This record gives sequence, structure tokens and C-alpha cells, in this order.
Amino acid sequence: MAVRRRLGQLEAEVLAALAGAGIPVTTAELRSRLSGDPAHTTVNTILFRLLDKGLVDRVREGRGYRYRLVVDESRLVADRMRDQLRYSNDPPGVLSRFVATLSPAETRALREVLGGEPGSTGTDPS
Amino acid sequence: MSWLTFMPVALVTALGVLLGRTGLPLHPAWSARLLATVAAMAAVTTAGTLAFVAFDYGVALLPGAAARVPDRVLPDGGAVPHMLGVPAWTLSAVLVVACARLGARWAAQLRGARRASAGVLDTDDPIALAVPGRHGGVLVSRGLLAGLSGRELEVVFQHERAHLRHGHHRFLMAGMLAAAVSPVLRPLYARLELELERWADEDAAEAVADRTRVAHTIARVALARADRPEGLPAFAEAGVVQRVRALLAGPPAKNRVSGPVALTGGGLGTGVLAAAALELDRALAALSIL
Repeated sequence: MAVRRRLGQLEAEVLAALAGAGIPVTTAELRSRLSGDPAHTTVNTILFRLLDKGLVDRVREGRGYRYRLVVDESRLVADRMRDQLRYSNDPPGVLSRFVATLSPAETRALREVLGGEPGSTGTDPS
Repeated sequence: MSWLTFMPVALVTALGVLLGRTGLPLHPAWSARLLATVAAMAAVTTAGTLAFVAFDYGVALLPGAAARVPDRVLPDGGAVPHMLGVPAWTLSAVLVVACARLGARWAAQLRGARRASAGVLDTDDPIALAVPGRHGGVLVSRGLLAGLSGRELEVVFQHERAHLRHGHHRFLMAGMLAAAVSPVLRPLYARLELELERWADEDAAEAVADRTRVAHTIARVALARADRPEGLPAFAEAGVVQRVRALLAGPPAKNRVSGPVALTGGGLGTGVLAAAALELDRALAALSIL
């Protein structure tokens, strides 16, 4: 299905693929992990954007590069100028966030749900 | 002007209140679509009815203006009583201001988030946000990247990707508009928010083919946020527990038939009512002929 996707959506998908890969990957390998067969140049555009943001770094290999997600606290260059407090509480808005802040009752209920469950991690990676 | 004037808005609002209270036994993707449709139609119907009453009242007050507007929009029923006309004008004014402020807030939020998503947020708070738009993407914090494993980050990014892919910000806009226009529809908006998160959770679970991993990632991030000393606990329930429970239970039915049927039915029903509210004088005339 050749869907023309917006770059933002593809950026999220590239990040997911890099996170799922676990090891540094080439653009070609990355492409094979993405749905909808995006063009090589499109994937590179996204990767350059992520390099700019400091979310991704790369190591040279032969004539090309291998890319990986930056998760190392010491290497993450967070911008101190940005107003992160604005995002630390949950104002209602058009920005969908992964999880909202919990109420105390929810915190208790969540620990109960997890406590009553056998096994603590998911199934094996495929 | 008769009690029938308020029938469309009463019916759509009643449906919105009902759906906000009970929800539907549908896949979240279909629930969210239906809730957003009802929310949008409720907003249009309420605004349309208010404008109709306010207009008729205004025309009755200013006979000079009546001569200048086309004949077909002139009220043919009795005069609008002050008891209805004055509140209609007041509410219309309040609505216009509320919608303008909502629009300004959205624009400011998007601008700020787009600027911030040029980098990584400098906080230990694990934050991930979907930033809609052509130059949107995912806004994440240092705490999220450093605190989660690769497989957990994959879940987070797949979840945000689902929001961007399906344009969930448009659904949220419909819900917020309905809540702004009619405060009794706030529960509808809250339920819509939850269904959108559930929808993104289900998409992520499908993408990584592991429901348990998605459930645990959500729980981990939520509890990490709750454990932060400077973090203020929320006053409202965010639905995280429901999301985790739903993921640990089996996958929901896709509702490939009942979903579209419910959406079409709900869309047509509320659409007709909204159209009636926008052309109230004609709808009322048609009813009086019957």
C-alpha cells in the first residue's frame, strides 16, 4: 500500500524501528523494517532531521553509515533553553501524550494490576 | 418559534451525554470516530440553534434591518420572547469568545511544541508527545530516552506514530469544541480522549505483536512519572489503569461490520439534526406541513 505519509508520522516510525533494532543499522536495513516501502531519500531525510535533533547518531561503515538511537544519558544533548516545565504537567490540548499524570488512586490501582500478574516481562522478541 | 426549535440540539446533546456516560462496546478506533462525530455535530447544532434564535430576536428588534435581508431568512413564526432572545445573544457572545480563545491556545501549543521538538526536553520526567502537522513529529524528554529499554521505546514511538497517522488531534479538536460549546458534553470529551489513547495502544500492540509489552511500558512510564518528587499528582483520572487492564485482557474485536454501521448510523442521525439546526426555519416549516 503506497500511502504518502507525512514526515512526522514517518519520523515516529523510524524512531520505533531504530529502538526495536537495538543495534546500529544502515539506511537499507532500516527501510526493510518500515511499512509502506518509503523511498531511500525520504528515510535519509528523516535520519538527517533526527541527527539534527540529537536523537540519533551514526558511525561510519565503508562508504555509508550505521544509525542508532541516542539513549545514553551522558551523550544526550538536551537543550536547557526549552521550557520543559510546560510539558511536565498535563494541560488539556491537541498534543497527545504517552501517559498523563496519575492520581494517587490510579497509582495504587496500577500497582495492584501489575502485582496480581504472573511474570513481569513480555514475550520473547520475534 | 416553538418547542420544536430546540429539538435537534436536545436530541444531539442527549446522545452526547449518553455516550459520554456509558461508552460503547466497540473497538476504540470505531468508538473514537463515533464520539468525535457526535461531538462535532453537537457543537454545530448548538451553535446553529443559538444563532437562529439570536438572529430572529435581532430582526424582530430592528424592523429596519428586516427590510434589507433576503425574505427567505426572515422568521415567519411568532416573535422571539425576551426571555429567549437575550440569553441567546449572551450565550452567542460567550461562545464566540470561548472558541477564539480555544483556537489561540491550540495555535500557541502547536507552535511551542514544534519549536521544542527541534531537540530533546531537558527533564528526567519521561515525556513523549505527538506533535501534529507537516513538520510535526515526536517530542521526547531525556528521562524517557535514558530510562526505557529499546523495546520499551519502540512501544512509545509506535503509540505516538498511531496518533500522527490517524490525525488524532482533529478528533481532540472536535471534542474540545463540543466541551467548550456545551459544558454538559465534557464527559464526552473525556471519553473521546481515553478512546484515542486506547486506539493508539491497540495500534502499537499490533505493530510490536506483544500486548503485554505495551501494557508494561505504559505502566512503567506512568509509575515513573508518579514517583517523581516534584511531580504533582493529577486530580482527574487519566484512564491509565483502564488502558493497562484492556491490554492485559485479550485483543478487542475489530468490529469490521458493526463499527462502520454504528458510525454511519450515528453520523447520519446527528448530521440530519445538525442540518436541521442550520436551516431551522425551513425544517420547522416542513414539519408544520406534515
